[in-house]
Amino acid sequence: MTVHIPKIEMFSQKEMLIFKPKGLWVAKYAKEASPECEAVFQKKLPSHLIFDLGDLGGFDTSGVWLLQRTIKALEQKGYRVEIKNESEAFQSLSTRIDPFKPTLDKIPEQMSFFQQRLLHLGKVSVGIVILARELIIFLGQVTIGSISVIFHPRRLRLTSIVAHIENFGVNAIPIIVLMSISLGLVLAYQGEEQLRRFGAEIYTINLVSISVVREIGILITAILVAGRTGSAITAQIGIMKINQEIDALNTLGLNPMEVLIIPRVIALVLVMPLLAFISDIAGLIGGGLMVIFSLDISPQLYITRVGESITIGGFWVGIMKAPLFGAIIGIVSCFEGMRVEGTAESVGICTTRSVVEGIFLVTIADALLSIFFTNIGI
Amino acid sequence: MTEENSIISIKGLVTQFGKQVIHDHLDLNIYSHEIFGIVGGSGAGKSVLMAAILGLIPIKYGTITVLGKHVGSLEKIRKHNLQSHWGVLFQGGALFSSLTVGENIQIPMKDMENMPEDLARELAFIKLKMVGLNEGDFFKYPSELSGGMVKRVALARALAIDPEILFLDEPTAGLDPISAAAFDDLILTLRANLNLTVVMVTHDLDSISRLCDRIAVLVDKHAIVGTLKSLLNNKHPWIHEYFHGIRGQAALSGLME
Ligand SMILES: Nc1ncnc2c1ncn2[C@@H]1O[C@H](COP(=O)(O)OP(=O)(O)O)[C@@H](O)[C@H]1O
Ligand SMILES: [Mg+2]
Repeated sequence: MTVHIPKIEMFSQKEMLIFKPKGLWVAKYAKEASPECEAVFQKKLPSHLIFDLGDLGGFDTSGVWLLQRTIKALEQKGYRVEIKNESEAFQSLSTRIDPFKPTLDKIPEQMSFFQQRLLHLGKVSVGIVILARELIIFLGQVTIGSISVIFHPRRLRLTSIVAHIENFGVNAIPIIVLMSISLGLVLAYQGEEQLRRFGAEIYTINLVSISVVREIGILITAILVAGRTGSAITAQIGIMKINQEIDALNTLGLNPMEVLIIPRVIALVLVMPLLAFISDIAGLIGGGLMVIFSLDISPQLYITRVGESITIGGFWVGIMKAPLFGAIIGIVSCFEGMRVEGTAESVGICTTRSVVEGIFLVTIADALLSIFFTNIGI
Repeated sequence: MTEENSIISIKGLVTQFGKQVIHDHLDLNIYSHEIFGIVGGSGAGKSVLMAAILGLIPIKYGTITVLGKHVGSLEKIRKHNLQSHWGVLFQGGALFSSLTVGENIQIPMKDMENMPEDLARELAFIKLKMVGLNEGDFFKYPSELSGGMVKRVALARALAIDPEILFLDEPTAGLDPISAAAFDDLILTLRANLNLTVVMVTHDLDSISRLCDRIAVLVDKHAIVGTLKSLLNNKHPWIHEYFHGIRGQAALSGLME
């Protein structure tokens, strides 16, 4: 194998120095070839140099470039370089490369660590303000679009809404039921542990039913939907944007707002209350399983007690939040989908942001509503 | 030429998507150092044939040999490290969208352990210029390029490591005629200097007549192979229409007399 390794042999002849590259000057051996070329400069050189290419075992663009780069650098330093026994193939390849002078010094300068951090902080802060502004504009567009669709119901895409309802809603039921049951179980278990100390373990039922129905059911539903459906919406719209499908819609006279966004938002608004209701029931069943076994009460009694502790108002407080949360998740995820630009990486970034912003806004909205409803006494 | 000279040899290839048979016992030999054209109607299975050679789709029956190694699946191709012997230009370009043009071209070199970084960058730059792009494009992202530029970057990436075999899927489609002619020149020089074998799917009759030593026409799920001269006399209706239709006559008028 040693024959293949590229080498430059040197001979002195009178006051000239002859360089004789040998071996395979190909990309595979670039690592070996490159130091050979650098070694040329380490020597003390006479003013007249000869490159004898007669023994070159083989070459490709990388080899030709390496030799050419070396020769050029020598010429620039004022040496007289003569090339001998150059094969036709070498010459024609090297003339192809010849006019190209890689000028790659334009790589941006590195900033100091402190400057970088400061720049980053500034960018992120301004980014948040711009994001909020754009989101509000988008909210306005969706609202206007929805209102105009309501006045022209012919433009409402019913088939697409129904398909989305199946996707976002029906298909999400199993995971929501599973999560809600386990949350109900945990809540009942922990609540009972604490209340038993006061001999008030029977109030576990009140604890479970009120918290599940007012808060936990809808919150867990919103979080699951943001993670499951929000991310899917963002990725889908984002990839459509990359493939210019959005541009195609626009040129075909179809408004992406009406075709893609409003049906998704409407589907989410419609589906969320149903999912929240299912989650409530599942949470109560989960809590019930725990309570029935550990407090040793009958299922009938559990149901009666649940009925006594949940007020109509309390139930509606939970369910009423659902369409709002659905709208938030739908709008945020469509918004982020439309912000995707060009790269596959950007799909990833926007999808992450869609889920994070969705859950964040839902939580904020929930906190505000909680205070509001408590203050008006429901 | 004999079968021993063939760099790619396909015997009895059957490919199928569901019930749709794309190739039905197709035989093909591609010899070392030739420029081999593949033509055929849209949907005739040209891209699928290339994908089968590259191990990207499963083959149902038949054998494919590349550089003397049995291939037919990605595992076998990886085992023989054939990827470092070929470069591929996909029909749609298939550039990595989150990498710049320069990084895209350097990808195959990165794969080659121990290529010094500055050399890789300079070579990427040379390839970029070879395919007719400017320094300014080096730091652009694929989403900022026109369709023709994407093709050229993809070609530069396919050429990055001076492969022995170059697979091109419709390389000149979408290029302006001047660039297409420059592309033909480039292929001819590379073939002359680098001992390259080129397998190209193309509809460009000018390219075919200037470049291709032999041509395979994919019709009726088989390949009919011949030189341009011999195919001009072929009586198969599709082949006749292809070379003797209005466009064919315009492009090949010099040859027909
Ligand atoms: N991934 C795939 N799944 C199913 N069918 C495919 C797939 N890729 C190609 N085909 C079918 O195979 C046939 C040949 O396709 P292709 O080789 O891409 O055509 P062309 O000759 O225009 O390049 C077409 O009928 C196409 O519908
Ligand atoms: Mg194709």
